[in-house]
Amino acid sequence: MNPQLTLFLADVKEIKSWFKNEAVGKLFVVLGFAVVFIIVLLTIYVFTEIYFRTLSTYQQFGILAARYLFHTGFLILFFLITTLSSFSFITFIFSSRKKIENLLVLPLSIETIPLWYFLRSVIVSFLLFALFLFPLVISFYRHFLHGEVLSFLLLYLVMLAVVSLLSTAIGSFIGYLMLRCYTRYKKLSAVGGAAILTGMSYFLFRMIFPSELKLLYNASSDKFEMIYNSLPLSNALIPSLWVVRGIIEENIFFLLPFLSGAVLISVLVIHVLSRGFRDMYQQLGNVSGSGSSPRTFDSFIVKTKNPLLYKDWLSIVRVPQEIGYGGFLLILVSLFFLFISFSQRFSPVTFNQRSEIVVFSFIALLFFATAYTLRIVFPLMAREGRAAWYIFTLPISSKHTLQSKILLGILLIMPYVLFSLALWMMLKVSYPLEITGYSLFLLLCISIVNASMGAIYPNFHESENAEKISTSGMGILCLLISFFLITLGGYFLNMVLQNNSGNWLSIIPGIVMISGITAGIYFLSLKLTRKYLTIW
Amino acid sequence: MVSQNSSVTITNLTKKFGTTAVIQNVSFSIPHSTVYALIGPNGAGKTTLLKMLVGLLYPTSGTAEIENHNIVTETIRTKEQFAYISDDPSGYDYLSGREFLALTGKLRNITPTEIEKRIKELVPLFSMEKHIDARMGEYSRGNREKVVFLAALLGNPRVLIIDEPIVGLDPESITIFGESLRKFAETGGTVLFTTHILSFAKQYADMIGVLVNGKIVYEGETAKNNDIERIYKDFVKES
Repeated sequence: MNPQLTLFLADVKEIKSWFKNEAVGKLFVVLGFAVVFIIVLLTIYVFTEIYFRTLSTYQQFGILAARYLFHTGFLILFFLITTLSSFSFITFIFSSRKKIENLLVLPLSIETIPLWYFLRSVIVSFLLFALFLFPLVISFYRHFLHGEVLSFLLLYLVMLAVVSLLSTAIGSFIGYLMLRCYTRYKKLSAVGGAAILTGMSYFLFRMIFPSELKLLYNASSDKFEMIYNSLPLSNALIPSLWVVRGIIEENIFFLLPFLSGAVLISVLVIHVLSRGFRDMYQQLGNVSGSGSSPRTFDSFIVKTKNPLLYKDWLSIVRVPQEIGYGGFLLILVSLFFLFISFSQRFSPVTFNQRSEIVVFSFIALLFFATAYTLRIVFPLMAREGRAAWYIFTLPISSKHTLQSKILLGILLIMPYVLFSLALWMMLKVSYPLEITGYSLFLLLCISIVNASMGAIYPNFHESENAEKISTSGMGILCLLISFFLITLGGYFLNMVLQNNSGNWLSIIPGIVMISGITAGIYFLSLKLTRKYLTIW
Repeated sequence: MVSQNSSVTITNLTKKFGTTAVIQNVSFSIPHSTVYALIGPNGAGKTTLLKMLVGLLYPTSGTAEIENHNIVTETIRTKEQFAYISDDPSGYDYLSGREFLALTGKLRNITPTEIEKRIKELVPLFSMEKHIDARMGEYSRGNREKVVFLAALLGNPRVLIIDEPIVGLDPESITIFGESLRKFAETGGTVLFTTHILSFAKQYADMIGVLVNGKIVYEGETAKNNDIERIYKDFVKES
C-alpha cells in the first residue's frame, strides 16, 4: 500500500481507537463540539438569511450586493484557512517530532512526510470551508438562484476541494518559509511573520471596504453598476472572483483557470516541501541543540515572591507554538474588530442598531477571549506534565499551586483587556467606563473559570499537546460554562443598553450570578486539586 | 520490624487498584543514616510503594511516616523532610538546569544567598558546568537525572527517596551518584532507592529489601549477605 495512504489510515485508526476508552466521556466531547458548531453555523445562517432576504427584494442591485457579500465571505474564509494552514504546518513540525523522527529512520522516501501532512491538512481545510461556507451558500441559493440544486452542490463541493488544496498549499508554503527563516533569524522571523500577516489583513480589508463602497448607498440605478464594477473585488483578474462567479453562475469556464492554477501551485509546493523537508528539519534540530546558552533567569526566580508564577509564565513564553497560537488569535480578534469598524463607516446606524452592535462586539470579544483562554490558560495545570511528580512532592500546598495558575491566567488575559479598551473607544460607546469595567470583570471571570477547570482533572500525559487538553471532556464543559457566562453577561448588558436610562444598577444581579458561578468553580477546583493523590 | 526511632516507617501499607492488591500489608522501617535498596522484579510494586510514601498516591490502608510525620495527615510537614526523584526524572523542558535548581531552592524556602552558594557547590559534582545553562528539554536522560539529583540535594532534605536512580548514567556518574548517596547517609541522612541493578545495591546500600508481588519477602543487611544475586533469584523464583 502507498505509504502516505498507510499513514493516513493510521490516523483514522487513531481517531477510532480514541473512542474505545471512556466512550461515554468522549461522546460527550463530540456532542459538545457538535453543539458549538451547530450554534455557530445556525447563527451564520440566520444572519445571512435575513440579509439576503432583504437584498432579494432589490432585484439587480440585490444580487450584486449579495454576490459582493458572498465574495467577501469567501475571501475572508480563504485568508483565515490559509493562515491556519501556516500555523498548522509549524505546529505539526514542532509537536510531531517523535512521529517524524520515527518516519525519518524508516526506509521511506522523504516525500512521504510532507505528502502525509498535506493529505491530512487538505481534508481539514475542506471540512472547514464546507462547514462555514455552507450556510452562506444555501441562503444565497434560496434567494438568488433557481437552477438544479444537485448540480449546484456538486460544483460547489468540487470547487471547495480545489480551494482547500490551494489554501493548504499556500499556507504550508508560508509555514515552511517561516520555519526556514526561524532557523536563521529565530524570534525575528515570528515578528516578521506577524507583521506580514497584519499587512496582508489590512490589504484585504482595504480591498473589501474601499472608499468607493460608501458611494453605493446613495447611488442612482445607472451609477450603481458603474461604481460596483470599479470596486477592487469586481476586477476580472482576481482569481477569487472566478470561483465566486463559477459557483453562482454554475459556469465551469470560470473555474477551469482557477483549477489549473491551484493544481499547478499545489504540485510546486509539494515539490519544494519534499526537496527541502529533511534539510529544514535538520536545521531546526541544529537551532535547538546548538548548545548556545539561552538567557537564564535563575537570579530572578530566586528573588521573586512567586517563583511558581514565573515558572508558569516561562512555560508559555518559551514555547514557540503557544506564542504563535496566542498571536494568531490576537490577530484574528483584531481583524474581526477592524471588520466591524470598517463596516460601520459605510452605513448610518440607529440607536437600537448601535446598542446591538455594542452587545454583539461584547459577546464577540468574550468569545475570542474564551478561545484564547481555553488553549492557553485551561492547560496550565496539565502543563506540569511529566514533571508533575516534582511539584506535588515539594512542600507547597495544592492551593498555592492552583492560585499561581489563576494569577497567571489573569495576567495572560490582559491583552484582551487592552483590546476591550480599544474596542469601546473605537465604537464610541455611550458609557465607556462602565462597559470597560464590565468587560474587565467578565474577562477575569472567564480566565479564572478556565484556570480552575483546567486544574480539576488535568491530563499530565498530554502536557505537550495543548490542543488535546483543551478539547477534552473537561475542556468542552469549560467552553460551555464560559459560553453560559458570556450569554448571561450579554443579556444583562443588553438590558441596560436597551433601556438607555444609564441605570447600571440593574446589571448587579448579573454580576452577582457570574461571580457566584466563578467562585463556585474555583472552590470546587480547590477541593478536587487536593484529591489528585487519589487519581494519580 | 518497625522501630520508633526510624527515619522512614511503613506500617501495614496496602494499595488496591479495584480488586487487585498491588501492595499487600507491607511493613518495614529504615534507621537514620542508612542507605536502603528496595529491589524486585518489574511489576513488583516498588514504584507504587514509593509513590504512597511521598504522597503521590493515597494508600488503601496502613500508614507511611517520614521523620515521624504521616504523609496523609501532615502532608506539608512530611514533604519538608524528604526529596523524591521519580523513575522518569523529567524537569521542565523550558527551564535551564540552573533555573530548575533556583526554583527548587526557592520553593523549599532557602534564602537567595544560600541558593546561589549551594548551586555553585553542587554543579561541579557531576561536572555540569557546561550544560547547566542549557534548557532541560535539550538534556540527555543522564543529564536530566543529574540535575534532578542536584535539585534534591539542594533542598537539604533529611531523607532521599529515589526511584531507579542510575538508569541512563555513564559509569563514572554512577560511581559519583553512589558515593554521593553514601556521603549523604554518613552526614545523617537516610536514603531509600529502588533498583534492578543488584551490583549497585550491593556496593552502596546498607540494607536491602526484596519486594515481590507487593510483599516484602526478604530484608537484611548488605554486609552480611554477600550473595545478593542468589538471594534475589531464590525469592523471585519461590514466589
